[in-house]
Amino acid sequence: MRKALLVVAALMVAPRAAYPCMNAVRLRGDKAVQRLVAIEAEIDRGKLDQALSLLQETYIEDERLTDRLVDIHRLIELRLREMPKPAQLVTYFKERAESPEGKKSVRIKAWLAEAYAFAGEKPLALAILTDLKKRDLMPDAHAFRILAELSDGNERVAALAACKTRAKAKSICVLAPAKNS
Amino acid sequence: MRPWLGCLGVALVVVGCRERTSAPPSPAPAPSPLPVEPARVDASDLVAKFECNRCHDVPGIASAPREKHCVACHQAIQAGTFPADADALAAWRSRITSLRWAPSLAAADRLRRGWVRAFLRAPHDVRPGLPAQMPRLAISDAEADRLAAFLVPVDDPGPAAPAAPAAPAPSADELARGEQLYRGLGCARCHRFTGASVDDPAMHEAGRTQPATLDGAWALAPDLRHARDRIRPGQLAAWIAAPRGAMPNLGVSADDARRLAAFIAATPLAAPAAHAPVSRPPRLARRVTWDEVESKVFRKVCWHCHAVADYALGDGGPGNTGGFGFAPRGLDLSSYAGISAGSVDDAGEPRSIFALLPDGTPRLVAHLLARHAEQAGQVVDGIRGMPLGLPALSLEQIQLVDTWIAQGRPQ
Repeated sequence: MRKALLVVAALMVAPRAAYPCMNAVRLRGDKAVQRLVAIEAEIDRGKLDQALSLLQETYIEDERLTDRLVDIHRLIELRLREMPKPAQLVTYFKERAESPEGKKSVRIKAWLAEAYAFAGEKPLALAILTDLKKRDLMPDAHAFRILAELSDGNERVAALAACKTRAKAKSICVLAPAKNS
Repeated sequence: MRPWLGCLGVALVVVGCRERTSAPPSPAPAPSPLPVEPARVDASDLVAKFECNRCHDVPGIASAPREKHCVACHQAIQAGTFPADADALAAWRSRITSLRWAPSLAAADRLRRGWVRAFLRAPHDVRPGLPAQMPRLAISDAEADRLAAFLVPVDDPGPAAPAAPAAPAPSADELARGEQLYRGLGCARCHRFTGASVDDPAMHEAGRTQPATLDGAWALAPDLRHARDRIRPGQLAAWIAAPRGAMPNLGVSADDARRLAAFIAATPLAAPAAHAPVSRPPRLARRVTWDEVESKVFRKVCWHCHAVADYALGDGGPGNTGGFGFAPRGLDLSSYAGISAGSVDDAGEPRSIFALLPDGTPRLVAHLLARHAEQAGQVVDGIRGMPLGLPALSLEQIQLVDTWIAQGRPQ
């Protein structure tokens, strides 16, 4: 399934040595990483169509980047609220959150919460996000937006304010109507 | 040849002539050379654990591959041989100041084992020409003992050893001669000697622009105030007469080397300058955004060791996936989401790096301030100074971070 997501050959990258302290090297020297960084920047700005467009022109050979690529693809699908079905997204992010990497990853936990919210599993989503907020571990504005959508009263106002503070673009803090309220 | 080197040559000739005509004969035998291949305690596991070979040459142990070797990588960038485009190389070359040089541990065999052990446990600045210094490792007493025994295979005889005949104390004439040599050889071109009357900061600074072949000698030259504690008796003179590291061989005779060593070991030293305690700067009134704090702090320094593991193809640096003996902390300081996602604590649970400590200081700010304390010789319990082993961030940079946190970390 993951291989099916590696779409349209465009960027060929031979496996290379890892440069541990070299983000700068990766960003300046590795076109595959540059592409992923650009896609993530579009997601952060809420420009999901542009992100998807870039993604569809991206092919990455290096298996060490595969998880990141697939996460990005799933995240775009989640935020576009199109394909696949919510339950499939929940399954995907739940698997990721239960992986050794995911157990330590606040971002993956927040994405799982987002998937739960999309699937109408409000208590599960709220439990994750409330815990992250309590521990001051909300990864980004998107997590606050979801929390605002799931909350009421002062908590909703506070989460929305935090979203606006942390958002790269204020447009991502426009709340969707809560499904269960 | 630079003028000072010419002067040095003249000084050597003058000193040599004086030696032949008026200097007293040597009262003590020349220092014994080290055994060629001293037996070493096996500490290869500790070298691997603390990754000493990412910066240092380690006797009998291969260097880390270049992609993990901080110094080799920086040197390759400086030399233009690193595989990157010309624009990137030019940009990096202008910014790299740290970790261009690191002393070879093959030369550590001249040191006192006890000093090495204490230094490993509580490193301090020994080499004023190096921006970076030995990082404060998470090393136990037992580990420091074994590493010190590996690095210094032949130590001073212990108290139970039969007493060796004591070398006679240097005479006043010899010490005067040693001082004359110190000045005449231009030692201050490379060395600071803080607290000594011969210390010459201006001459040392001028030495920074000496021929490129001596860049390493200047950068690695230790502050000689530590020599009497660091180096075993006899070895300082042997080193001056026949240096094995970056220090150039100045052709100093064994007798002159002994006089110079005696001067270095005995000249009176003033107490080290007291460091004023650094306190947390007040927060700024103006707005600070992620773009500013990222460009002026995180991307400038922090993200080199706290990288994105995925983008670094699995190795996110010692501050993320682990290294230098430190457990993986998962801390990514290269993006807003990364920094917001915190680090991993000893139990493997994510924790915020912005959480307030009991005194109200955010954890991240406390680590940045702790580096100032470490540079002043004070270790903060439970808080390792950051950036690890590198110069402390300026108070303006810390103020920026602190303000950004207090404002709710706006993008």
